[in-house]
Amino acid sequence: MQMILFKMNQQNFMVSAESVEEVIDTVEITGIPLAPKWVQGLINLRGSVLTVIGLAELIDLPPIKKKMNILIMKNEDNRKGLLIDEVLKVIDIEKDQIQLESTSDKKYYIGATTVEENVASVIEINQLIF
Amino acid sequence: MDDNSVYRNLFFEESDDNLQKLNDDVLELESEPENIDLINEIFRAAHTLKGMSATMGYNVMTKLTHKMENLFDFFKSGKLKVTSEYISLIFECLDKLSELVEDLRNDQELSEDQISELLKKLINVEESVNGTATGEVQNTSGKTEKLTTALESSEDADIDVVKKAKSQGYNAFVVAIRIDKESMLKGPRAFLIIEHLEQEGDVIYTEPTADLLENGEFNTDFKLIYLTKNTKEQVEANIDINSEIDTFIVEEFDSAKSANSNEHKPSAESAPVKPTESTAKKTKSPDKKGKKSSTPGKHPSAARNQSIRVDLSRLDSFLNLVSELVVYRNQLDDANKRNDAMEVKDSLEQVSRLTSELQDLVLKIRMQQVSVVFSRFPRMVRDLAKELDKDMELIVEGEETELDKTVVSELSEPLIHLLRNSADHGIESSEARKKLGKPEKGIIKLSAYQEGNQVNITLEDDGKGIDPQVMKESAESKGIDTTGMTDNELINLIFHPGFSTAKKITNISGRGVGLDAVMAKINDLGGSLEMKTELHVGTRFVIKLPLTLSIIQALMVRVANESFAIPLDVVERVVVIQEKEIITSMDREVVEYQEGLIPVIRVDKVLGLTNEENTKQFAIVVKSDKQYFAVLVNELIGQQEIVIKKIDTIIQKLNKFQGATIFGNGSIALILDVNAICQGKLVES
Repeated sequence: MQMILFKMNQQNFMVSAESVEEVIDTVEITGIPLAPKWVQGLINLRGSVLTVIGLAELIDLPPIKKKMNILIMKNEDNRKGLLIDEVLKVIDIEKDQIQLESTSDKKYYIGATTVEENVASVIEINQLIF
Repeated sequence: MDDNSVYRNLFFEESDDNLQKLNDDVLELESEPENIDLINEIFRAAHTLKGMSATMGYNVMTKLTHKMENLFDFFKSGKLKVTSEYISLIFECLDKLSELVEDLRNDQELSEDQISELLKKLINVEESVNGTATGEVQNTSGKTEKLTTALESSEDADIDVVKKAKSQGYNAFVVAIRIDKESMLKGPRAFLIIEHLEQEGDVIYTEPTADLLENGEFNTDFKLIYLTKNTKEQVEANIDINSEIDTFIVEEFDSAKSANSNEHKPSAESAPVKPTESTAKKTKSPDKKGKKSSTPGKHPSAARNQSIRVDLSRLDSFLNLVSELVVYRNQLDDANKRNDAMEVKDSLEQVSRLTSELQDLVLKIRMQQVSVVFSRFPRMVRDLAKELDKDMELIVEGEETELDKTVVSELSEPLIHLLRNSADHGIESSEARKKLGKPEKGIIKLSAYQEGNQVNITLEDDGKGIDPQVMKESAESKGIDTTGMTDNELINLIFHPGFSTAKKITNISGRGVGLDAVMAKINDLGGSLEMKTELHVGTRFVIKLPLTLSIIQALMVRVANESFAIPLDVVERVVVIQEKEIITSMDREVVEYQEGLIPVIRVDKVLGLTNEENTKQFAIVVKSDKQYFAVLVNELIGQQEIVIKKIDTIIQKLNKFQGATIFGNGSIALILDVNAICQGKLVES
């Protein structure tokens, strides 16, 4: 399956490309007063207003310094932005390449896989943000 | 099943349409019972409905529509006179059908129990018709026996077949069979009987149709025309070997034969059945009534319908505009490549013109006629008149007026409320009206018309109006202080939360929800509600609504370092105030405004923003729920037309913003929900 490999600080992560509609470079994010801390704000994506979620805040990672890309996640008719550090590449992996399945009690964590000698965590966050 | 789901939406949409049409037509039929064209129209709609539900495999619904269709068939053939009693029964069926459609929409399985009561009533009517009908000479195929009915609609073609068969030495019999009531498998039983008969001849016609028989979709009786070389006795013997048959009749098929010569035994047998059923009907009717009064509220509104029908010409012009846009986009591309600034400017101008045209057009496409909501009201008023035993009529005008779909779909609830009020509290009883020298029939008039950028909907009745003295008494009994109130203020108490003037609580409008709820709803829609009343002359409500909800005039402001939009329609005026003008009284801050004190809302505090500069502020005076508030902001940016963009539910839940908008430079501003902010503030303090 196609996965999007991205970086959060020094850690590598992967999400299924199926849940991602597109990857954009970070644009201006308008903050929302009173919103939960994992809600970064609103962006203008070609005339639609989308809410951007900070992945670091959402899954309790240290805050990221570089904010290069936003993944536009889709779930049926809903779209949300997911602020990440930087997209590295799109790769194809086989399902059986995902190891360490369900060793974590965190539901969004599916497993880990090795890509070019680096370990990447495979996550599934749509159920968290939609 | 997958195939079905593709058609489900279509089915719901068309069912809604057909049910609405039936409702309208049946209502009209009541005033014009002789109009045969109308009956035909109704029959067609009912038939379509039946066909659709059968195609979808919704058997319960098919069954009910089938029985209802029979009733229309009686009207059509003149076997039954259209009376208001039958009309009411039909309305009950229509309500039930709407309920069934609604259940299906919610993916609920239908059960026979839901319709058994109504079916019984319909069957009663059918039986009474067919019972009395046997005495008369009907159409040629008709009269055979009194087991239950004569053949209802055998066709001329069948008669020809019978004639031909007879000339070839066949005997033609009409066979009526009543299957044992206890039989669990009526369908297969009927099928077996027919199969037995077919070994010795041909069954050329059955009533109900063979399909329905096989599925067991009939009461206990069925009839058929049978061609055979056997004698009557042989046929009787053939049928008699089947079990589970209550009674049966075999009779020569003879179109000229009089009904009176029929055997009497079966008619005597069918007689005892009827009384028990009619008593059942009587005992059932009271609780049916109780149920009925609650149904109008549950009536499915067109609001659920998430698709919209668009005039084809509008779609055509949409396409034209878009193709024009494509032309200019290409020009832009081209000019850009050649670095031709002039050309770019020209094309951009065209693009901007096209954009505004597209914007207007899209808004038009979203428009819906208010008739979507209005169309159910005549029926509702009819039911109300019956229930309240008053004589009244609803006149509807301007139903072709268009409003944004979102507004239209939200409109029905407040209008129903107002209509019920007019019918219940406004219109007097016929006797009271006569005494006052008014026409006995009360008139409620509902009209809609566009005025500039808004649509006005007026609802007026020629009833008793609101008596300030009655209001005063009622208010005092509820513990509301009325000292020093003018008549006008007393009348406006009707909008006081929880106020109800009806001395007698009826299930029509005395539900504890007052006109304040209506007011709130209209305000939510960005509209306003006014009332004028004159004692013994009538009451008139005027609802003013914005044409659309998606584009509004807004005041752009800055608070701390953030920009926000405030919808202009809530803004009364803007004043500059100094920090020292703000007085702290009790635990809240107020400011003097028009010789009164009004609460101060600090947007920065409400939104948790840190604000350094606060010596000079702009106070935007807004009106929320008939009260003024001073909303403090740092700077006014200006007034502009903004497009409201939907925001995520996470942000909606904050209950501070009603949307977001995008500026010309692409940046985003949140739109403050002023009502929620002001009211929320009140609750906190």
